[in-house]
Amino acid sequence: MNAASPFYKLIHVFSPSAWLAISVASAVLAVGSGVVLASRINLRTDDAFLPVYDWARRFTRDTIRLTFKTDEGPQETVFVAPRGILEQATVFKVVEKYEDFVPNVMASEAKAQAPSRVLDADWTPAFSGKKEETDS
Amino acid sequence: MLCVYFSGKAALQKMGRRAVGLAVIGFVFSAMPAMAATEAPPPTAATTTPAAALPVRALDSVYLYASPITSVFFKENGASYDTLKQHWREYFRPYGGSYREVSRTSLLAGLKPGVLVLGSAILLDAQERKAINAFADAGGSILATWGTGARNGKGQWAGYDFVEDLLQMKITGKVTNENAEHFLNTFGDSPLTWTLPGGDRIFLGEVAETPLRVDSPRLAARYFDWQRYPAAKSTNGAIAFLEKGSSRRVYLGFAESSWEYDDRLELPKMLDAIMAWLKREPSIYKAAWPNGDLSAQLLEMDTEDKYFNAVNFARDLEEAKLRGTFYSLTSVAAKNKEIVKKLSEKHEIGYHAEIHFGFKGKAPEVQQERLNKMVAEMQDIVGVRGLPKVTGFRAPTESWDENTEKQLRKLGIRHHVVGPNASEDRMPFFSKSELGVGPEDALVVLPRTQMDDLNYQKLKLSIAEASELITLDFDYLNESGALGVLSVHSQNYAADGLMAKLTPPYIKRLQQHREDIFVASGEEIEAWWRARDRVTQKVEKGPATKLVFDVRSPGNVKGVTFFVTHAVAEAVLKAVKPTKPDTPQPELKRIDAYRSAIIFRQELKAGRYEYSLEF
Repeated sequence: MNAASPFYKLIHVFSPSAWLAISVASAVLAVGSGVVLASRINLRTDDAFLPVYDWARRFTRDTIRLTFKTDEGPQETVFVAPRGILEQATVFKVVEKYEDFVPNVMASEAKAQAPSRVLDADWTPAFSGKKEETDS
Repeated sequence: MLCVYFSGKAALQKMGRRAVGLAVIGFVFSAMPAMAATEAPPPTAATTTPAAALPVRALDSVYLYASPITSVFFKENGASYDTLKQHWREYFRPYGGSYREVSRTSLLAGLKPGVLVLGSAILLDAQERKAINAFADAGGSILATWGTGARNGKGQWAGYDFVEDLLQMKITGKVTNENAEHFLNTFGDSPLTWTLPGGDRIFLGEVAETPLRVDSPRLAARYFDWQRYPAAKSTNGAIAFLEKGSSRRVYLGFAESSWEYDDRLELPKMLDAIMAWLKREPSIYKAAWPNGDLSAQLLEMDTEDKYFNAVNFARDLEEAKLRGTFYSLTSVAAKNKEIVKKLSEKHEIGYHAEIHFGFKGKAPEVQQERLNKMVAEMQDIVGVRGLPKVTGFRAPTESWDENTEKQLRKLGIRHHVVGPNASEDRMPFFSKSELGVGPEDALVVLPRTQMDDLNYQKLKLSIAEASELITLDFDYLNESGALGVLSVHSQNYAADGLMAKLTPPYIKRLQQHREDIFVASGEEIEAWWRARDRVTQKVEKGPATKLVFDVRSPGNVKGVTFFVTHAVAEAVLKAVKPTKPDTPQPELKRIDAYRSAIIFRQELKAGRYEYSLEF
């Protein structure tokens, strides 16, 4: 690298140990910011990071397997359920605790009701933008 | 119902869409359908009423069980249950408010009768099992898939007892990836799979969630390899059903991950029929075959070398009072005019080209020249007056292309018997070689999906083994409501030839089913398929209460049949009443515990026909 180049000068502004300290501080700052943001929306830490970890792990695993599938073994199959789930001999982590499924119930909105005169041929709506009263 | 279930293209499946699917579907969208779902209502008194005392009515509610233990188990062991469940969520999206995803608490508290879907709910604890059985005993319907209940609430192996007891069936093994039986073959006109044509071949993929084999007397589909080799009956059941008391149950032996390989979106159509049956909604649909017949059979000979052996085949047919078709190689038939004349007295004569070379890929003008020569030779054999009766064609070595069919139609050919790779199902169809040609003019294509004598010879079986195989093949054709084409070659029909020994017992089997099989020549099957197409049923959503259909000009439709599924086993259709005077009265026939037939044996003219149904 040319010693006169601006990039060379820039990376030599600090010593390697100083750059390392800056990197660590930046990382801590980024994670800390994430935690603060997560806490603002009442997101538990494990809720926030576990799916990301899980997603990244599965993505990496499947990508690697599918990419090299042809070379490593054409018979290898992709699986959705835990591998060997219908094999009696397969050893799995047993389920010790679980939480029941909680359906997300949408707030029940007021049922839409058209005014009865909507089918009256003589009624000409004004379309003023004002809220119309329903018949109920 | 047209389902919005969406499956990605095969190419995407090969490119890591599984990974993306796991992440995106499971992580981002999994909550969306649940947002629209509402929790199940609290238990009602009806849930504890004995099944026999319940009035039989259609079930509206559909529940998808969100097994929390299965979900945790999948997660703990590096997988995602949501990925399997998501298929159901997408399928049920058009159901709107009648569909709910239910929790364990709701299940244990008791659900009002409806259809409970246990989509690969592998882990079920004792309480859940008890609640599901109670739900069924109270008149609820159940749809279970794959390894439902195969592990207990901790995740330890429990076996298949739960679904076996629920369906009164036996799980006999797995379709592993070393096996070739990765194709689902559905039964046509069956109460559970009538929305698909007979013998529809649906690829299930080579998934790690290996399908389970079922042995049950009540099946709606089987696993086969691509060529539908007739494996033993106890080894290839794929969809089983049972009606017990007022509860209906269906089991799909394959996991939801197989749905991703269904590029033609046939499985959602099949699920529509299954859901209607489980909801006890009577369905009415046009049958494939006339006069209440359940399947059809063409017996034909490729009549070429050793032409004289054709009389042996003709004799076997005539002894059983059956009519066959002799597709003749005209250059050989020209040397056997007397035999052709004799055959034509009781059977149909068709074309098998002029020489035994295929047509596929040949230049159009070359094909035209050959086919013209074939017709000229046939005219010389059967005479000018006999020529218009020769309307069937079968290409040598089943080798043909679009140009062949275009030329055939111009020459007045009406049907074409093709090989097994021309269609994904086992039914006739109108040729797609020419765009814009209507069903009255298009070639009717009859696919030979049955093994022929050359296949049997290659297997090098003993007569007894081959006989067992051909009988099994017949049973599979019949149960799937399909068209069977038994093709034999004249050179293999000498007195001591393989087919001369296999065919008579086969014909005997056909005679035993005389009441429910349409055994006909190629031209008769072609004429029926054209007539059937003139009938258009007006389909309405929901339970069938009336039958409305139009017969297109020129009419002349005889034998058209409609099947009606029963809301309850043996609750046969009591009456079909015309809504207008001077409307022909059809015949009613019980087909089995689950279906009745409405048969119009009289000739129907063009026009609209309307009837009300009484159960």
